[in-house]
Amino acid sequence: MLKQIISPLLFLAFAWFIVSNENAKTIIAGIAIFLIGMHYMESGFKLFSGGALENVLQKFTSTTPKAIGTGFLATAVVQSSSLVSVIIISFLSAELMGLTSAVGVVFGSNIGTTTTAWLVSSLGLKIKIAQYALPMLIFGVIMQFSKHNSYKGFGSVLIGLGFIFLGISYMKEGFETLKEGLNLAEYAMEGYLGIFVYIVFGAVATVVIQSSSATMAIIITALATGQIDYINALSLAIGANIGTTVTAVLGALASNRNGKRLAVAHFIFNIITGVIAIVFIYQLKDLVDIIAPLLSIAETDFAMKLALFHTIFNVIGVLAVSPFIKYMVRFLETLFCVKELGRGKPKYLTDEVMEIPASALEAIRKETIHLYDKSLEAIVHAMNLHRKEIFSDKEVHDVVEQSNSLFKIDVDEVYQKDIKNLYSEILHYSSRSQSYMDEDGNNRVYELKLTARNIIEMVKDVRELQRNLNHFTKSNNWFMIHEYNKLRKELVTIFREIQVMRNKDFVDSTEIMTKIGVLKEKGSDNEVGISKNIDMLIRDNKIDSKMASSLINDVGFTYSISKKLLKTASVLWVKDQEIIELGDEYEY
Amino acid sequence: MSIKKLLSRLDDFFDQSKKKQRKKSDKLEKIILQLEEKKAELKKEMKSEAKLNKKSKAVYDLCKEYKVITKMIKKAKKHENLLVKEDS
Repeated sequence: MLKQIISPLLFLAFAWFIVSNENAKTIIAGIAIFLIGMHYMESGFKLFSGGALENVLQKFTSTTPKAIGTGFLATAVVQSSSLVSVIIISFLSAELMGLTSAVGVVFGSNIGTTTTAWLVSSLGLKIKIAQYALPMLIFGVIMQFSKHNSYKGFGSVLIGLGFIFLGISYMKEGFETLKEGLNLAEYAMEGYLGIFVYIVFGAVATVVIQSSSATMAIIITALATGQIDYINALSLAIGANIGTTVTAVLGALASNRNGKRLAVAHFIFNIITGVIAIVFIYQLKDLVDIIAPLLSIAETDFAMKLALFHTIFNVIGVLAVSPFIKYMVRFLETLFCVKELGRGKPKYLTDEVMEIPASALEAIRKETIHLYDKSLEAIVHAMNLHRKEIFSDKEVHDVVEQSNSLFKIDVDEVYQKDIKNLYSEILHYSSRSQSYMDEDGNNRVYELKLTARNIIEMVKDVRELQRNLNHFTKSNNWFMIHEYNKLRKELVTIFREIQVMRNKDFVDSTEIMTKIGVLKEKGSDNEVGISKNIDMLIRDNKIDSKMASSLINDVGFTYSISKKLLKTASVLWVKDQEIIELGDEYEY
Repeated sequence: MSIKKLLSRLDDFFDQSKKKQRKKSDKLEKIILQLEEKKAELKKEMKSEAKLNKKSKAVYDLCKEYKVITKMIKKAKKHENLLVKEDS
C-alpha cells in the first residue's frame, strides 16, 4: 500500500525536478541516452558476432591467465560486462566451461569495463563527439533495414556508439552549463571522510543507474568540467566498482546456481579490490602520476588520469586475488548446491542458457543424453539385464546366458514417471530456444528432437519385446530361449559399443561414424541370418506358428531398437555435423 | 565503384553463408582425404588377411569397414560437388 503511494509520488517529484531544472534535465537525458547506447551496443554485438564471441569465450579460457585475458578483451570490445556474464553463466550451466575459467573471465571482464573510462576520457572529451554521433545513428538505422542479421547487428552497434557519444556530449554540456550557476566543486571534501562520503555516492549512483560504465561516464565528464575534485572523483570511481557488485548480486537473485556463484565471486573480487584501493588511495594516486607521463597523459588531464587510476586498481585487484582462484572456486562450489532432482526433471534446461545458441544446443544435447540414460536403464532392465554386467569385461555371451531371472519392472510406469516428462521438457525447451538460433542451429535442434523421439520409441519397442521375452524365457522350448538370447546379445553388443564410443573423447568423428556404419551393416546381416534361422525352425517343427509369429515380430522390435540406438549415438556423440550427414547413408 | 557494386561487396562481407560453405567444403575435402587413406590401408590389410583365410571373421570385419568407408567417401564427394556448384 505504502509502496503504491510512494512510488508515484517519487516519480512525480523526479519529473518536477527534471522539468524545473534545465541543467539537470540535460545531464539526466545524457545518462539516459548513454544507457540506451549501451543497450544497443550489447544487442548489436550479439547479432553481429554471429556466435564468434561465444566461440572465443569458449575456446580461449583453458587456463586462468587466458581466461582473464579473454574476459578483458571480450568486455573491452563489446563494452558490456553484463553480456559477457550472461554468456559465461550459460556456458557454466551447459557445462561448456568450468567454474575456474568462468571466475577468470569475470576478473578479466572487470579490467575490460575500465576501457569505457578510457573511451569517454579520450574520444568523448577531446573531440566534438556529437558530430560523429549523428552520422553513426543515420547509417545504423539504414542498416537495420537489411535482411542479414550481421548487417542489422552492425547497425545496432553503430546506433549504440552514436547514442553513447551523444549521451556523453549531453552530459558534458549539462555539467558545463551547471557550472555557471552552481559549482559542485565547492562541496569537495578532503581527507578520509571525503573519500568515504564520495565512495558511498559512487556506489549509490551505480546501484540506481544499474551501470558502472554510466557512472564512470558521469564522473569523468563532471571531473573534466571541473565540477568535482580529482581525489573525490577517484573515490567515486571506487564507489562505482563497489556499487556494481550490488547490481550483480541483485541480478543473480533470479539466476541459477551458476549465476549466483559468479555473483559471489564478483562480489568478493570487488570488495577486496575496493578495500585495497581505499587503503592505498594516495599511493595509487602517486602511481598514476608516475605512469601518466609515460602514456603521454598531461599533468592536468585529470579525466584520463582517472581512467588510468580505474584500470590500475582493477589490475591490482586481479593480481591480488588471482593466486587464490582455486580456493575461491572450492568455496563457491559449496554454495547453492542442487537438491536431489525430482523424477523426470531436466538437469540442464535452464532459462539462462536459452538465449546463447551454443550453450542452448549443448544443454539440449546433454538433456537428450540424460533422457537416453534414463531410457537405457528401462530398456536394459526390461530385457532382464544389468547395466553393470553389460559394461563389464565379461563376454557378451556370458552376460546374456547368466541373466535368466525376470526383472520386476513396469516399463509403462517408468515411462510415465521418469521419461515422458523429461521428453516433454526437451521438446518444449527446444522449440523455445529455436527462435534465438540461425538455420544451422535450428537444423541441429530438429535433429536432437528427432533423437529424443527415437529414444522414446525405443522404450515403446522394448515394452512390446518384454512381454514375449519374459514369456518364452520361462518356457520349456530351448530353441525359443536360444533365439531370444540371440536378440539380447545383439542389443548388448550395441549398448557396449556405444558406451565405448561415448567414453572415448579422443576418438575422431570419422572413426566413430565408421564404427556405427559397420555395426549397422553387421546388424543388417544378422537380421537376415536370424530370419532364415526362424524359417528353418518352423520347417523342422522346432517352434509352432504362434511362437514363430511372436519371434518374427520381436526380431523387428529388436532391430528397430538397434537402428535407433546407432542413430542416437551418431547424433549425440559424433561431433562434426558433416560426418553425421555422411552416416545418414546407412539409414535402412 | 557503383553503389550497386559497393552494396554487393558489403553483402558478401556480411553474408556468413558463403564463408560457411567454403569452410564446409574444406572440411569435407579433409574428411575425404582421411577416408581415402584409411581405405587404402584397409585394402592392404584385407589382402594379407585373405591370404591366410578368405572366410575368416577378420576378413568379414575388414570387408564391412571397407564397404562403409567407400559409401562415406561417395557421399562426401557428392556433398562437396553440391557445395562447389552452389558456390559457383
